[in-house]
Amino acid sequence: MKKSPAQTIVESHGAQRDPDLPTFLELSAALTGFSEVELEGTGMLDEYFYTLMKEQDHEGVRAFLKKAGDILDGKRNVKAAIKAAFMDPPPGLTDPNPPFDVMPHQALARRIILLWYTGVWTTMNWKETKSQDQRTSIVSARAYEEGLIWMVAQTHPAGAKQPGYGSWSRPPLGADQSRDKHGKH
Amino acid sequence: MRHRKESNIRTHRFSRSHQSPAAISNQAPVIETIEELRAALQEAIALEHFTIPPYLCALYSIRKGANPEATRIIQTVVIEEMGHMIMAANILNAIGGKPRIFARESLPEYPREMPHSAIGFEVGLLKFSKNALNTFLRIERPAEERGPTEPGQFWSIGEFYAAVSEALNRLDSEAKSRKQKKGIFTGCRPQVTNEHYHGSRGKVIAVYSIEDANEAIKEIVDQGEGKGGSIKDGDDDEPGDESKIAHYYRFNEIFFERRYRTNEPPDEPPSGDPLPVDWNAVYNMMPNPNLRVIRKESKLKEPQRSQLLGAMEEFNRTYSSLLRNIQRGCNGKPEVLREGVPMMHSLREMAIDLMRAEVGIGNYTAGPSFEYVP
Repeated sequence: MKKSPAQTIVESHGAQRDPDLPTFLELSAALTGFSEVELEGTGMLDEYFYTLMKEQDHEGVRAFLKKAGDILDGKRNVKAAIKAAFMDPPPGLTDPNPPFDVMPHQALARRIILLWYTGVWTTMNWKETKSQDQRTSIVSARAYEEGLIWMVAQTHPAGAKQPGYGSWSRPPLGADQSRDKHGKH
Repeated sequence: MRHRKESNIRTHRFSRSHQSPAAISNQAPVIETIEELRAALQEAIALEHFTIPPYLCALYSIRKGANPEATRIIQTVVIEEMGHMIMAANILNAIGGKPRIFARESLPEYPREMPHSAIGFEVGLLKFSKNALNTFLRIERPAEERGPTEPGQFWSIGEFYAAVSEALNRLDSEAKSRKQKKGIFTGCRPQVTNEHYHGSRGKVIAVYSIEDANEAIKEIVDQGEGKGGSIKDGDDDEPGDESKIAHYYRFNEIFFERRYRTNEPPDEPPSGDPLPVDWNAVYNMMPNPNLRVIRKESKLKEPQRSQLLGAMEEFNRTYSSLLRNIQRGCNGKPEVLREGVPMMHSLREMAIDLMRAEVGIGNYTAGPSFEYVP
């Protein structure tokens, strides 16, 4: 059978990867607390990067990744620098849960965390015409299955990745090792 | 087909040694004692086990949702292979042996020469590909008459089992003629039954007598190579059910991308409906992933390198735990097998995760290495 068109896209995409893709992966690891290998293991990297790249504010996204790249390449304490740049609210902001649109970099970072954990993305496209809820959607069926949230909760997505008959009568695998993923940050 | 000729069997001298004696033996059967028979059944367990990691690698490397028919075919085969391993263990258990499932020798480093094969070919851990299917076809190939072999070698898995079966029947009737009522079936520990092999669509035969043992061996051989010179595997399943033709022919369907028609002759390629296969919808798993090679050759930088090796080790640890569990199950505690089920499912997810992660060798991804962790 000849290559499917989708496969050709995936392969050519893989052959000449976007130079910002490694930065996106490294930043995602820093933001989520999961390792790069674990994130690659979800098989969602290309799709999530593509989701980010569909944002109409292309320059904004590239600038965000440039800043992330500079921090990640820096000699300073990367973890603290990422936190300061992307996770802490800017000084003077009192609202503990400001809307996405107030702080572009922090907001984008929060979106990326939600994306990896839940497979959900809130686009900034049509910001003027649609509410945040209307702009929020699950990226794909696969994104639901591959959400990190299931790993953290040591369970499986309902309807997918079944752990097998009778598994409910046993503690989750690896529960005794208590690999505390989300405690990393 | 053409295997299990009585005259042939008796020329096969079973030997556990891996040296290859030059002389072709045509003495009386070599599974002479019950100890030798137990050793042969242990080898049968290892042989069945040996095929499972290669089949799983091909199965898991198919991208989710792609190649549904090929996926189903490999799935049914691998589940039956697991059943064969359990049935071989059941026979061994029934004749007073102690099946070893978790043993260093049953987790060989791949690629490895197919054990006990007179044809001589390598079996490796490969992604779903024509190359992998070629190997699978060789594993399951029904024997053709090809003359005598060296001791301990066989033209097919069927012939190997024929030698085991011959010894089982001979030793059992010898024992019975000595007024031992149960023959050689003196093991009294619980057997693994269908009830413990729940939900897998597989079939397991519990063994308490020579009749059960013969039935189990027939099931193993028919499922692999076909029943008496046909493509059918002897199971009376629903029409259109994948599992009604033997493994060799199921793999042939994938290879030729075509279904067999009902009662098609076994020596012709399939000529039925097309079975579309997308050979590219596959994770690019490196051939024969293993920790030693990746440690040496991977160009990944830290910390990814340690993360990847860690994930591979975690897979191996879980696989080893699973084998320990199955070993307990096959040694009189079948009820514990249920605990292995979540491990199997989790191994699948871990294997797929590895197959999506770059390995730092060419543009390959990593994969499960099925290594022994004591």
